[in-house]
Amino acid sequence: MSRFGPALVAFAIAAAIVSRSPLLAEFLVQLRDPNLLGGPIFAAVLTHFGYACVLALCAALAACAVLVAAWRARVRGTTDWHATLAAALVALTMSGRAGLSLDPIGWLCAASCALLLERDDDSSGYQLIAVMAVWSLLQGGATLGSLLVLCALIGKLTDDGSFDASYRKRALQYGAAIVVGVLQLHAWPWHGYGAHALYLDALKAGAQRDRLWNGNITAPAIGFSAILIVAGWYGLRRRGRMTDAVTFFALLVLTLLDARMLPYFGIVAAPVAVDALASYYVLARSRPRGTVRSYAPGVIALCVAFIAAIVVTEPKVAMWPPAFGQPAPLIAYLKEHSPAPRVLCTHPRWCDGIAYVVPQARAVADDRTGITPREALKVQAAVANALPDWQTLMQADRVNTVIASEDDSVAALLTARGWHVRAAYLTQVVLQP
Amino acid sequence: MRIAFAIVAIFFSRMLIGALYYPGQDADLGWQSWLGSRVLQSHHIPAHLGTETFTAVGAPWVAQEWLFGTIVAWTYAHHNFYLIAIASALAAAGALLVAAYRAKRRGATTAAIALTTACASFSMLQAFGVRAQIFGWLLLSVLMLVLDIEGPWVFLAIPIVALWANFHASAVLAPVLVGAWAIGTWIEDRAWTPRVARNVLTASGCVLAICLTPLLGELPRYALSLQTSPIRQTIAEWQPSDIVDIALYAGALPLIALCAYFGVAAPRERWRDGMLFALTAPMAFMAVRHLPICALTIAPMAAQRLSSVLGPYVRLNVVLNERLTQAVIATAAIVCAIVIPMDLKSVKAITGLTLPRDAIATVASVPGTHNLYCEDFAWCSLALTKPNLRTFVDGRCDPFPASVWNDYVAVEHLHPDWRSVLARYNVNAVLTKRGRPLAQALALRTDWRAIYDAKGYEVFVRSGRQTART
Repeated sequence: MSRFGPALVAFAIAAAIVSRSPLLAEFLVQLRDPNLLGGPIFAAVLTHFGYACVLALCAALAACAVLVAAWRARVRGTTDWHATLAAALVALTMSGRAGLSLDPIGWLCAASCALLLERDDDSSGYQLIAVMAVWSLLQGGATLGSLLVLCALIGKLTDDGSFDASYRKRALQYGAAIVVGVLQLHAWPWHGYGAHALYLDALKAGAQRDRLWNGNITAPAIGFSAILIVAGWYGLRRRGRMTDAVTFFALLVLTLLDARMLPYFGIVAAPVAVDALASYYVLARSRPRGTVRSYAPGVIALCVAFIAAIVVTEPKVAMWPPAFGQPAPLIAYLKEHSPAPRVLCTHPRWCDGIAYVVPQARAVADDRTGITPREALKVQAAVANALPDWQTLMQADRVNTVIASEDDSVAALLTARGWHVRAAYLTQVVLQP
Repeated sequence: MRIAFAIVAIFFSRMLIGALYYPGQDADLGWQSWLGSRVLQSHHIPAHLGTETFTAVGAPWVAQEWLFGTIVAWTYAHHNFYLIAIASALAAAGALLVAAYRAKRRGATTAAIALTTACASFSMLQAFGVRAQIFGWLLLSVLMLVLDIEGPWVFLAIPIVALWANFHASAVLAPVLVGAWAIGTWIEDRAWTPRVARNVLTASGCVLAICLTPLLGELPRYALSLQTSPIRQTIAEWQPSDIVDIALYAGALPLIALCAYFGVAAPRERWRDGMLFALTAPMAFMAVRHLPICALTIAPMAAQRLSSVLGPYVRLNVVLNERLTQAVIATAAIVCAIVIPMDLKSVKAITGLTLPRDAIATVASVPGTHNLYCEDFAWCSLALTKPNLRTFVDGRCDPFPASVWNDYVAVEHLHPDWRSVLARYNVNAVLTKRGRPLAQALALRTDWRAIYDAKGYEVFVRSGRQTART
């Protein structure tokens, strides 16, 4: 690991720093989230140190998550080569969402949890509770950590085959970690970021949730496939630990449910998959033999190939400076001309910036669909898709401003009914009566 | 195998009832039978779109489903559609049984075969119908069996692929699969052995076999062009599979999970399996239509590996192999096979008539020639047999140029230029579902009027201009 450490850092930071720019809008709305401390911390960095520092912070967190995942692979007894492979796989799964977001906090916490669960001793149990506490204070994905710990607990029971004193002690520690993760310490009893909001509502949101494949072969999808293929070739059973299998498959299902979970799947699954691979190649354990310098050209070539792959498959990452995901000029128009509008965006993400820029505005729904009331989602979906009762629902909700793409059906229907295009930016328009 | 037979019998009855009522559910049979009747009449396969459409007359058309269309046309002409419906259900059941047999040949135990056969059956539920690719599933299964048998039998793969190519363009997968198998053999043998040479030769033969159709080299060219076609974004079957799809969560996913848990390549040095897994497992997530292909390919591998824990002397297998148990399961399967069709007959989504046949007949009854736009392009397949109707885009969809397709989407989604598109193509009749955005927009226009509103469909015609060509 020591030989490859610097290369891994460069590798991971390079991956993280190529930001998928439209996430900026999500990021801004996260900063205003009253439930989590990660937002205010990032907001403070943004205010006092500027955009570049926030980006560097995100990149550093993502890089650390990659390194911790690689470390976990090393803890499992794999070689530097395998740890590097694990890092590459994790970085690939992150590449679709790396950048300006609170997600890297969750990635690092998830990687740390997985590492502590790997160690499975008393001190790790207590450290796990601390990590879960920090995670639940900073970022909403802490319930995922609870799920991870629960899977480990179930897997351990299967592996140990007995409910002895040792298991009971560990169960107490893990149980505390689960509770800490679920309960959101500062927003007792909990404030919407529960398992229901994160996972079950993903089903409710239906087509709005992120899919793993978008019809194209992308870097994250390649990372996902590679992990699956390595696992399929060598088998998770090789190490004979149900803990691995339970966590692997739980995260696999979550990833299929919502592609935002893909980096977490990578963090948890990649070290397990490469460990299965490593168990078959005993000869490889004696490698690498060279120094950092001797491997530098190869590592640099790998980084270049990796970044090129991401840039080619995810063109947005090459955009610099990053553009706002939401239609900023349209929101500026609203700030100037409609100080307190009731806004509906046909794409909820476009409404993210409104809460940040026009505090008096009320959006029917923004990208936090997990904590948006069911009724509001119903109105949003009806209007966005111009379902038969869309007008009734819109009037009942007193929507007086619609931000839509000019290609949206509802834009044509609204103009046909006497609404006017008040402002336009690229293909997005503000429609008002 | 007997338990597998019972499972397949249950799914067969479910698929048969779906197949018998399929003409009421899927408009594609409309253009397929129309194509087949043209082949039967003229004894050649059309290579271009004709005047049955008004947007792309003369555009090149690779009628890859010509054989299936001809069979459909023949059964329609002789009023025995049920024959092809039964054949489709039998093809799907046959594919499942061949996969189960492959598992049996690999030494899988009863419980493992039963479980994987059930998963493979579920993977088919979503995509099943009276469709050309169903016969492709059977041929894929047989191809995999031939590869499993090895020896000189492997050369049988070439005629199998040739037959597959005449049914459906999915045959272009075959050379890739056989090639991956050959690479797997080479990894296993670590030398150029007779087995490797034979498999490489077979893979090369399969490349030629996909050209052994009346379409010659056009078929692979068509299949490749489809990979970048904008049409894929609109077709449900080409969408990425979703965890809420039964074909994924109860079909391919459990099989992939079993493979990932046990490992298909390394434990027994079965790199042939490993290469097929590497190809088909990611495919399962890329498109719904690939789920059965993945399941049929990897089910025997999963069964074989699962048998390492569910060995022949495990209690479950002992019980399943008892005569009494098998008699009970067989009886239950027969009861299910009888009850399921009876129960499903009342399900409108399966046995009802959901296509706008009456709406299209209404447009056709209006004097003159009409340029018809169908909100769902597949509905327009039903208009092909009407001599006075010409379609914007119909179920053939592939041969229509991208520009026409983009115009079709612009109207469907009411893009800013939707009215000018309709005017530019001189469209004078539009078929939509009631309440959809296009129907709402047309209802607001004074230059369009509704002439049909029934069974959930609406037909609008342009006011003041009765026909496109009078």
